[in-house]
Amino acid sequence: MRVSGIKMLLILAVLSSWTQVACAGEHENRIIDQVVEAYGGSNLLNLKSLVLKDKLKRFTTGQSHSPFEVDLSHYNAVVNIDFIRGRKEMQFVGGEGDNIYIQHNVYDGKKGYRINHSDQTVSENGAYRFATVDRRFSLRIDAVLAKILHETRAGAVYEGEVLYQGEPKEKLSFQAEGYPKFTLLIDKESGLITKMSRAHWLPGTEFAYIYSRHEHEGGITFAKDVYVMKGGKPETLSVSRSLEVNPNLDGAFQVPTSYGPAPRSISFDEMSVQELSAGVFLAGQDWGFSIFVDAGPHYVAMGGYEDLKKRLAAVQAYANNTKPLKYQVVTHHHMDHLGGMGEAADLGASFITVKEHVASIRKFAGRPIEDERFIIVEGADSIENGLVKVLDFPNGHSNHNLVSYIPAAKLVFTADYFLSRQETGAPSGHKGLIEFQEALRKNDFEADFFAAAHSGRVLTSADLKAALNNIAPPETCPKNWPQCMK
Amino acid sequence: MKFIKPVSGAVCGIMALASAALAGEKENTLIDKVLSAYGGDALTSVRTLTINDRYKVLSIGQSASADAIDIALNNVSLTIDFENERKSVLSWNKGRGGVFLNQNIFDGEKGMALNHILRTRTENTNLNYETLGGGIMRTSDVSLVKLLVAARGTAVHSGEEMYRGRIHDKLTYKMEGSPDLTVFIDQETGLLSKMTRQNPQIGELSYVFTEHRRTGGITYASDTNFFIAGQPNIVTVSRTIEVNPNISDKFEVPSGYTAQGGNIDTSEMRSKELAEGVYFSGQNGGFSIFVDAGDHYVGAGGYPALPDRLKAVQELAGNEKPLKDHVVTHHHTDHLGAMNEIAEMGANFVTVDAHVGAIKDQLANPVDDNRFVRVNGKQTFGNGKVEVYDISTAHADHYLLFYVPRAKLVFSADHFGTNLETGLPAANKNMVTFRSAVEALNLEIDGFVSAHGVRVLTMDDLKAATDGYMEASCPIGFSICAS
Repeated sequence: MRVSGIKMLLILAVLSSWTQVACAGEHENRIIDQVVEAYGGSNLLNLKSLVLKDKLKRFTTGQSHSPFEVDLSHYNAVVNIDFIRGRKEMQFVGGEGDNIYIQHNVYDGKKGYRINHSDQTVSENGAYRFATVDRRFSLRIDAVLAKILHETRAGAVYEGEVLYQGEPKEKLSFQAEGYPKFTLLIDKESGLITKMSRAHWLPGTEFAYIYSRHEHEGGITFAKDVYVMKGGKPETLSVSRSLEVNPNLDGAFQVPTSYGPAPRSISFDEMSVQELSAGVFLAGQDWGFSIFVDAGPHYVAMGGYEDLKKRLAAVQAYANNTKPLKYQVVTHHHMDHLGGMGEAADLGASFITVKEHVASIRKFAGRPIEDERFIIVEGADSIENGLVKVLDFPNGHSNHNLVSYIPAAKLVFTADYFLSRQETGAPSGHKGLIEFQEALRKNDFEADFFAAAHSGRVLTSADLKAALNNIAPPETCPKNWPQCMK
Repeated sequence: MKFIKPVSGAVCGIMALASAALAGEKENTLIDKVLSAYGGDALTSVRTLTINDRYKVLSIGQSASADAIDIALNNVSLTIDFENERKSVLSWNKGRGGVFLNQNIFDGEKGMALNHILRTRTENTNLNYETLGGGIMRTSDVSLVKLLVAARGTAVHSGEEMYRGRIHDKLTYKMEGSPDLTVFIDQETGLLSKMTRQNPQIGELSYVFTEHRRTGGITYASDTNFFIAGQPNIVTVSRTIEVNPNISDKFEVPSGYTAQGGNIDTSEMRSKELAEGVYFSGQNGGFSIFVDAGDHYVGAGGYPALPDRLKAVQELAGNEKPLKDHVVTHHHTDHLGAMNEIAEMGANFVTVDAHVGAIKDQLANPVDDNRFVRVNGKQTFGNGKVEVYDISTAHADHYLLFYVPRAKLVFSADHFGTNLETGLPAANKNMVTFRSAVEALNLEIDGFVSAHGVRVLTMDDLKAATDGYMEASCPIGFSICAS
C-alpha cells in the first residue's frame, strides 16, 4: 500500500497530537476537555480577542500608613488582549480619591513599552512580554487560564481529588511558557475553575485566586467575582468586572509617536560603595541602599533592605576594616524596608526606632530580640554624641518616619521620600516636600546632600530647590479611559 | 500663707472653669464645622434616609480553613424614619453557607424579624429604634454626624493626630448601646476620615471613610472600610444614600408569611443525661457534650464558660470526675472561647494539626506540646466510648465529628442544631455537605446535638431538612439581591 506524502503528513500530525495528548494522560485530558467545554468549548478555542474591564480593591498589607492598619486602594484596569497576534495592553489607574497613579503598558507582539502620559514619554521595557505586561491581570480571567491550560495540556499533571469547602474538586497543575506554575482546583461537577494558586517570590508564600459567580458573555464563561489572597491574607477583591468577547481592537496597542523618550535611568545592577565624606558610605545595589557612618569602633547604619550583611561587607572591604554594626536606624515599618532586620539582629545591632514599629521589626526579624536592643525615639534624638541625628517626620507615606542627618557630611537619608534613579536632572516635587524642607529647617538639619534607600544617586540641595519649584500637579487620567470615571 | 491657699484654690478653680468653657467652645466649633461640611440644615432637617450598601465581608476567624480568609457578599439597606422613630434593615447575604434574605423592622411600637426566603415572620422584642441597624449606622459617616449633633453635650475633644498625612481633630462622644465613639475630623475639610471604638474582647474597631460625595444636599463617604484590630473585616463595594425618600412600604410585613414557632428558653444553665454516661449541658448559645469514660470525662464544645458546663454535669452525675480530653471541633474563634479554660483545667486539646496554631493563638500562656492530641483521620478516646472523625464540610475544611457509638449520638457543633420548639432548621450548604460527610462514614446515628441548640435532632430530621436542597434564588420584588 502506498501512502501519499500529504497523507503521511496528516498521519504524522495525528500521531504527534495523539502522543502529546497521551503524555498528558487520559485523566488529565478528560478533565481539560471538561474545563474547555465549561468555558465555552469552540468559542474558547477560537477566541480571537478579549477586553477585561476590572475594578477591584487592593489591601496594602505591610505597606500601609500605619503598622496597625491595612490600607485599601482602588485598582481599576482595562486589559486588551489580541490572541491572534500575541499583543496585550494594560491601562491601569490606582489610588484613592484624587490621589491616583497611572500605568499604561503595551506589548505589540515583539516589544514592550511603558507609556507615561504625564511626562509624555515612552520607554521600551525588555521585561514586558505577552504574559507579564499586564501586571498579571489576565490571570484574574479564569477563561484565560482555561485557554492556557488547553494550549499546554501536554504538561498538565493530575494531583488527585480534594475536598474544597466540602465539595469535590480535581487538582491539576501545569506550567506555560512565560508563566509561573499554576495549580487549579476544578469543580468536579461543572468543570469550572474554583481556585488557582501560584508561588509568590517570598519563599513559602503563595497567591490563591478564588473564582466565583460565573456568568456567560459572548459564548464564554467567566467569574464575575475574583478574590486573591497572598499567604492566606486578602490581596485584592472584585468591585465590578466585565468581559468583551472578540471585540474590534482597532486603535489598541498603539504607542504615541508624539511622545519623547523617557529619561535614562542609572543601572544599579552591581554592588557599589561610595564614600560621600570621610567615614560616611553609601552602599547597595538594585533597589536597596544603606548609609554606614563610621563611629570609631563600629558603624551606625540606616536603610533596612534585605542583604544588609552584603552591604556592610562591601563597606568593610572598601574601608579595609571589620568594624561591626552597632546601631541600625529603622526608617519606617514598610515590609520592604524591614527585609534586613533579621540580618541586623544577627549582626548584634541595636534598633533605633519609634515604639509603634517595634512589633513589625520583631516580626520581620523572625527571631527573638531582647527589649534592651530597641532604642526608642520620641520626636527626635541623636546617636554617638550627635554623629547622627534622627527625626520622626510623620507624612503621607508613613505615620512615623525616621529621617537621619549626618552633620559632618551635611547629608540626609530619607529612605523613600526624596530620590531619583535618573542619570541627570532633579525629580519633580510633591507637596510633602514643603513640609519636609520645613522640618529640616526647624531641626537645624543643614543638608546639602540627600541619599535614599532606593537609589545610589545622591541628590543635592539644588535638586531639592528645583523639585520644590516643580511640584507636579496631581496625576490626571488620560482622556476616554473609562476606568477613571467615578 | 493662710491667705495664699484659698486664692490658689480659687485661681485653679477659675482656670479649670475657663478651661472647661474653652473646651466646650472648641467642641461646639468643631461640631458646627462638621455639620456644615455634611450639609448643615439639609442634614439636621432630614426626615427620612436610606443607606444602600454592598459589602464584602472577610470571614476572619470564621473561614473554612485556618490558613485562609473566606469572603461573603452582603447587600444591606437601612431605612430610617426620624420623625416617627421607625427603622428597617433589609439584608441579602451570600457566602459559602448559602444565601439569606432577612429583614428586621421596628415600626415605632414593636419589632419584627422576617425571613423572605422561607416567608416567615417572628416578633422580636429585642428590636428597638435606638439599636436596630446600629452596626450600619456606625459604618455611615452621615449617621455618625447625626448622632454627634444629637449627643453634642457628651462630646470631648481628645487631641490632634496626624492621620494619613493630614492633621485631624479627635472628638469622643456617646452612642446608646455602644462603647464611646471617637471620630477623626479632617482639620481642613471638616469631614470624618475615621471613627474608632474599643471592644474589650477583640480590641479597636475602626471605620475608615473615603470618597466623599454629595446628594440631596448631604455629603457622605461612598467608601467605608471596617477593621477589627487593624485587620479588614467589611469592605464597601458600593454605597448610595437616598435623602428624604418615600418610605411608605418599608415597614410593612408582607401578607401570607407564617409565624415561626417559638424558641426554647435557654437563658438558664441546663444539663441532661442523653444516654447512660452521656451528658449535654449549656445555656444561651453555648453547649457541650461530656462522656463519662470511667475516671474522667471526654468533652466537646469550646464556647466560653466550659467549667460551668462541666460543673453542671458533675452535679447531675453526682461526681467530680475531671475533664481529660476535650475535642476542639474546629478553628472558628467562637468555638475557641474556652481554650484558656481547658488549659487551666489540665485537659488535653484534641484537634488536627492544621488547627494547633489557631488554638495556641488563643492561649494566654504556653501549653506543653504533648497536650495537643492530633487526630489523623480517626481516633478513639475514653476506651472506645468516643470516636472522633476528621471530616470536611463547607463550614470547615477540618471538622472533628464527635461520635458516641453506644448512644448512636453525634455532636455537630455548628452543622445541625436548633432551639426551635418545633420544626427543623432551614437547610444550607454547611448542613448539606455535613450530611454527605456523615453518610460517607457509615455510622449508626440516632441523634444529633450541637453547640448552639438544646434540641436533640435525628438522622431523619437531617434527611428531611436537606433532601432536595437547592441554593435559594432571590424572591421576586427584591432588587437588593442584584449584584
